[in-house]
Amino acid sequence: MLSFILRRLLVAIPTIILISIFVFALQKLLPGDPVLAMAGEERDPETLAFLREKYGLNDPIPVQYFRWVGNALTGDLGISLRSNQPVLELIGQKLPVTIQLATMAMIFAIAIGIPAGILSAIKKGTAIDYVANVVALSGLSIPNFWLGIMLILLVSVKWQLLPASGYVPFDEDPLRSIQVMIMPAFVLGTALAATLMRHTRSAMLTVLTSDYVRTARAKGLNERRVILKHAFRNALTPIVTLSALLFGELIAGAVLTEQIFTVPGFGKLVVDAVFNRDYAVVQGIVLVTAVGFIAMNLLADVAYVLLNPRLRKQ
Amino acid sequence: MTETILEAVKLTRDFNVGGSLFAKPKTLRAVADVSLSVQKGETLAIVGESGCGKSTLARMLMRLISPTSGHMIFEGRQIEQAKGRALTELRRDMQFIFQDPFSSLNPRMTVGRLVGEPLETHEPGLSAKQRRVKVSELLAQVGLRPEHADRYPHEFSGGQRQRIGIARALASGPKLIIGDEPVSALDVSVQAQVMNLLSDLRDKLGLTLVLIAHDLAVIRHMSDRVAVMYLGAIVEEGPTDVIFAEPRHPYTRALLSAIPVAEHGRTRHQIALTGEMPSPIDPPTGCRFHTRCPFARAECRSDVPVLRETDTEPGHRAACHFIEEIAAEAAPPAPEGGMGLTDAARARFALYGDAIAGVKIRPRSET
Repeated sequence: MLSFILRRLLVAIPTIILISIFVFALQKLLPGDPVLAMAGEERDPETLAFLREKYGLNDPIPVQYFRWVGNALTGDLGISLRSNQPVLELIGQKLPVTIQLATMAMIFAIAIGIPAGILSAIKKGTAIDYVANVVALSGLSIPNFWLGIMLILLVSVKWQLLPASGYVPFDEDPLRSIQVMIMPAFVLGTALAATLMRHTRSAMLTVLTSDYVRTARAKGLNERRVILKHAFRNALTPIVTLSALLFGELIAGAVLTEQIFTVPGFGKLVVDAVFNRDYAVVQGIVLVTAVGFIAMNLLADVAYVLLNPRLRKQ
Repeated sequence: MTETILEAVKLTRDFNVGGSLFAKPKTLRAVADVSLSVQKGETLAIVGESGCGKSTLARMLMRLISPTSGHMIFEGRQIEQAKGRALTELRRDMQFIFQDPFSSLNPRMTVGRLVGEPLETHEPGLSAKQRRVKVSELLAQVGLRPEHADRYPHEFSGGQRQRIGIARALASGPKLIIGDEPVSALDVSVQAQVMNLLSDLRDKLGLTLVLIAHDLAVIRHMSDRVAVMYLGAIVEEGPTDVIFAEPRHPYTRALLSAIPVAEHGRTRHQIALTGEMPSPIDPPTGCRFHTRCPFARAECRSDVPVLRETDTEPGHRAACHFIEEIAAEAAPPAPEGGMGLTDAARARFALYGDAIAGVKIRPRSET
């Protein structure tokens, strides 16, 4: 098992190198001279030359790349052009917010999507199945922003049940923090829940018709046990893979959701950085997100092996 | 020996096939009015070509699917509607061995858990330790080692997997075991071993067996009685030796003459059936076999023959209008030697017998 994880980690290295090259190239390929942007109104050639020298922009590109990578490895992702804060510090401030949002959305998606998928597979062709499918399809089709705005209108403005926006750090007031985050998490999790439900349903349908489920029934086990122990365990593999892939969607969705509910998270940081042409921040965020995505898939691979004894001994 | 353990009365099972939003589905009658009884301690074989409804019948007997109509009686209890606790009890007394040893074992569970699971349901009083001991005993009983309990199904060969399937079936301490083609997915060399294991276990544990099969050579050595199915109905049934020696239904005769043999220089006297088995969606009128029967006459097309006693032995029944004629004619025409069995087939039986003679086989008085 350990050697498997180590091997998967080694495989992840080239991927991360590729991503770093891409992220670096992004900065080089984008139109506009960062030095001009930094110097502002001052177009004095001497200042520009000084800045170029200072940031090493006269060096050959590979040298610049390796310097950047070296810095990144030591945790230095550069300094935000806008706020003059180190990028890593900025990310460190915003990341927990988004992690809380993403976690809550995922919990919501799993808590709704998986049981609904199982239920609709068991009750295939009945009213329950149809209702679940219609709800799931709606969940997939309704755009995030519309759902968000409607929720704000109804829940916050009309019924005044939950705050429309804002953020309370979890360690300050957990209850309040969750309360504020409920609506964004719901909006972010809806599409995920629907996707999970559809995939759980189809995975369960396949497994439920398999011979070993018939064997389990012939043993005289009660139906609950047949479904949870025999069928669901085997249906779990595609669901785990999917959950890891959904992580990407989660981050993309967070960008939008945080805009709607003005949650001061990672997504908002990206949008602001893009609008301000704050390249160092954009670079840092892309890098951190990519590494996170790789880590999630690594976790899924490990879970895969843990769930499937046939893969264990290879 | 004459106590009836399982009885089926006019069992019928329909399936709806086709059908869409606008078209009414058609009814496929997989099993039509089948009545049979299984005596305690005997081995009953149900044979027939694929699609004749034998697996459907087996699954109904096991209550994995429920009959459209008809009754089933197990040890005096009516079981066709059994639910909940009654069904759980039934599962304890009646177990099933599946055809495919590869797909019928859950790949995520160790052998120990697969075999031990029925114990958890049917003997909840056992501690985990007692259960492990019992699982080891069960594995030993089918020729596996106790340490196999910690392995997963994919680490075993087909024959070993079928042994696991048998151990699992034995776990609840059943009185009756139904095997749906228990060896047809295995290599021929392994088939004999598994069949022997089954017959040993039957003798040792006093089991009653119902075996579904299409390999007549396997049946010949294993079963006390045979029921031959064609197109969802039983066309002939009787003691194995009598059926093999003096078949009375033309279909049985054709089946027996079709047993292949690998021997040089033998001429085979086969009764070649022409045509396909008719679709059970639209079965022929009268006798179901008349479309392919070499003896068919006008009345076969209109009158449905019922199972009736033949001239041979009590309990040997066939569903044909012309049992007497076939009996009279039986000696010379189709099979050489007049026993309804070609020399070629007999040779294969002998080969099969020799192949498993090394391992124990239940002594059987040959006629």
